[in-house]
Amino acid sequence: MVATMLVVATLVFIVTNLIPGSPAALILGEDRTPEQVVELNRELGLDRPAAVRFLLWAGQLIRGDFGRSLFNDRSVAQVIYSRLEPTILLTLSSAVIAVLIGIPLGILAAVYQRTVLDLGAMAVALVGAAIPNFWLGLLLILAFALRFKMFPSAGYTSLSDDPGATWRYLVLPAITLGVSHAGVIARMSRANLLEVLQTDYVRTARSKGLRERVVVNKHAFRNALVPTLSVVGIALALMIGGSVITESVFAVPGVGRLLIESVLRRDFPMIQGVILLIAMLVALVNLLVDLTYALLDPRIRYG
Amino acid sequence: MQTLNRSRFVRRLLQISLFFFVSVGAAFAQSGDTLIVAIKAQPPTLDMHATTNNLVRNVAMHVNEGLFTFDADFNPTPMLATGFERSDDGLIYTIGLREGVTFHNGKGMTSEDVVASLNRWMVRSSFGRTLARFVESLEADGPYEIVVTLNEPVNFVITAFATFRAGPAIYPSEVIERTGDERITEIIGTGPYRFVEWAEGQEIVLERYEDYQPVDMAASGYAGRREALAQTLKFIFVPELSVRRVGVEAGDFHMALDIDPESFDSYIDNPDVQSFLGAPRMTTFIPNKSQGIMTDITMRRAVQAAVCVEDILPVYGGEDFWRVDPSVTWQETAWWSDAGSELYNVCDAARAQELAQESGYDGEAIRLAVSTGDDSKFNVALILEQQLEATGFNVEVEVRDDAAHGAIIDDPSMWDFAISEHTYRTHPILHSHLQATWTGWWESAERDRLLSEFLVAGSEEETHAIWDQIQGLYYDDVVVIKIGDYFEHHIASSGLQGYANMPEPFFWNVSVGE
Repeated sequence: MVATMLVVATLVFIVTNLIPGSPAALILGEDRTPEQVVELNRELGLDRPAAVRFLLWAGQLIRGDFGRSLFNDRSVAQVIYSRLEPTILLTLSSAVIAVLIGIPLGILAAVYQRTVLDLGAMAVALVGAAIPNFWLGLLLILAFALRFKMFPSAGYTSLSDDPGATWRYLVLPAITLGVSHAGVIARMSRANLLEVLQTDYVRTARSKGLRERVVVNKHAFRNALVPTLSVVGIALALMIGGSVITESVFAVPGVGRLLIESVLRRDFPMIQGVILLIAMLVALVNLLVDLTYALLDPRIRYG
Repeated sequence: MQTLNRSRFVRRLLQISLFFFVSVGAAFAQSGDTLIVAIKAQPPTLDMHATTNNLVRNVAMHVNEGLFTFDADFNPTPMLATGFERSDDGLIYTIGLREGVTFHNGKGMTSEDVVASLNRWMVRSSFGRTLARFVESLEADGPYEIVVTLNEPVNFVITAFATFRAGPAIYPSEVIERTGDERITEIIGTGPYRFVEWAEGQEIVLERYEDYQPVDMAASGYAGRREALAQTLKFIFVPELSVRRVGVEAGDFHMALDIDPESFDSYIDNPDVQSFLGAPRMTTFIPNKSQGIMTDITMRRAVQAAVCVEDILPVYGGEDFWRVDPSVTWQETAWWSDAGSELYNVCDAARAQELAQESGYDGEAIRLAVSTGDDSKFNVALILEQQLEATGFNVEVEVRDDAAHGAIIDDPSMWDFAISEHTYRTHPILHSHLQATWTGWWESAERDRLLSEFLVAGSEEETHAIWDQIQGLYYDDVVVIKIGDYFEHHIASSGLQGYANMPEPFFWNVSVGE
């Protein structure tokens, strides 16, 4: 994992520093003078060659220091930390919604294969996976914020300030993000369950006279869950870095939105810090998924 | 039996969902004494000296004040100052300060704070630097008086002290000292609201400053009595335009800034939403006068002759949102002029072709740089491209995001023309085009001569006459090709009361009704 992070860090630095752009021009505004730009570049350390900046940054990283934001001069680690809470809550609640919608839909479609229910469930899954996040988000805002006034249209309140308000702000974004992943999870659960339902041990269970519900729930579902879990893992990883649009639409101050804002501002240390964090979280999620396999499938052992 | 169970299950699921949505809806309520303003992005800083960024001004102007400000007729009016005296030779300004004004940390404001703040402003701010060229010395004369001594009797000292964008906000001297060469992070001022919290990426929270000492004068424009009618003032960062709109319509925000002009018509008959035409702005087409094909003045005149502004301005929405106007200063100031207007909106393809031929134009590509920050700029570029191509010019539109555009625009080898949108300002001296160092690099001995005369002109008539000559020179030299003026659009919920709708939006004296 350390080697992976090292490669990611180097690549991220090279890519971000290749993008043309002037953070100083954006900070100083329309009426900047060339002298102001030169001075601010010096202040931000951008007058140094890229190789020197990389060595300085790598040195800081080794000491656990992610540097300071070029945009607002705050500590990168502190800014990311302050943006983690909404992203983690949004990711987890979206994952719960995705699983709660996706897996039952998949089971329903597999159990009632080639029926109207199957077709209906898969149509819902397809629509869920295909619908653009920003469009679904706006539809939900129009319906539940503007029309029925059930939820706030945008914004966020920290858990430490008002836990009740936090989840009210998260309901619509979580549905938006969750629905798009529910479709994929539903299709994968269906495929996996269908495969398991055709195995010999399922046929044996049925021939023993077990009720269909027991066959599906006890014998087939758990075995179909292992490959489905890897899809859920991938969905989680995608949500961590891929909630950019949902966070922007609902003005949720999360890490995804921070990344896109930082790219637009050419806030190089912030981009590097966020991508490193996302890479780390994705690696961690993959590790957790691998460990969970062993819990679900006794045949899998590590060590 | 199974069917019955399933339908019972579905019914139960629906009941739970309904309960969930209704209970959540009931739990969500808007707090009463908080004024919420949705802005499109997070400002980079709240240090008013450091940048001309409008987001910074929009928030920080509630916390920090200057010595002077503008009244509803844009006359400079004392704010933290009591007034000023100008010596007969115009070289010495003696400015009195109000007594009893306290900063948000409880400390009383004195000349020490003012001198420290103005000295920093004259180093950090682009406008401050303009004034600094003429300042011989700046000294305190007792705790409540400062003396500004000039090396030339320039006439814009008080105007410069009244400006908001990158304006001379007054901070406590110890904050200036602690900050050194960095950006100010201790947001302490004398304003009606005090800084409470900056939730990263989410919002900036200000609260009423209970010990605020308002000016003893009726409110007029930015001047006069300021009162924090709402206990809390929140600026929420909402990047998505449609969500800023829906947020006001749904009552989640009391005001949303920077709304698309196209939505104006939809609010005309909406009793729940107030719609405001905001500050006038200006779009120009800037030729690169330092390097490349546009250094040739005949080529610039050829392009100037080809531009038809009436085909371009509708990109800013309905007719309420734009106007055809030759003046390079706004009608909303005292500096409107029609000098050189015969060269504005010429829209004569034959004349353009004749001039292009005269300059020996051989079809070389003209690089037109535009940023994607605002859709309007991109649309202006596309229409200009069509107009110029139709006249026989070979135009290559180069589109970049704001940061990339900002980088190339400072490099004269990278572009021939650029689209620029200029924020409203109250005095010609605040126009960046007047500086030779600004984008486009206008070097002119005649401009320098006129400008030095303009800055020291004694009477109002004389000053205006010189400004007319400068604007005439703008058109003759084709410093910029003006497209026209357009307006910002803001919306508010019907409960918002007392909003003055000045070009720079502010929320003191504004309350939130039912």
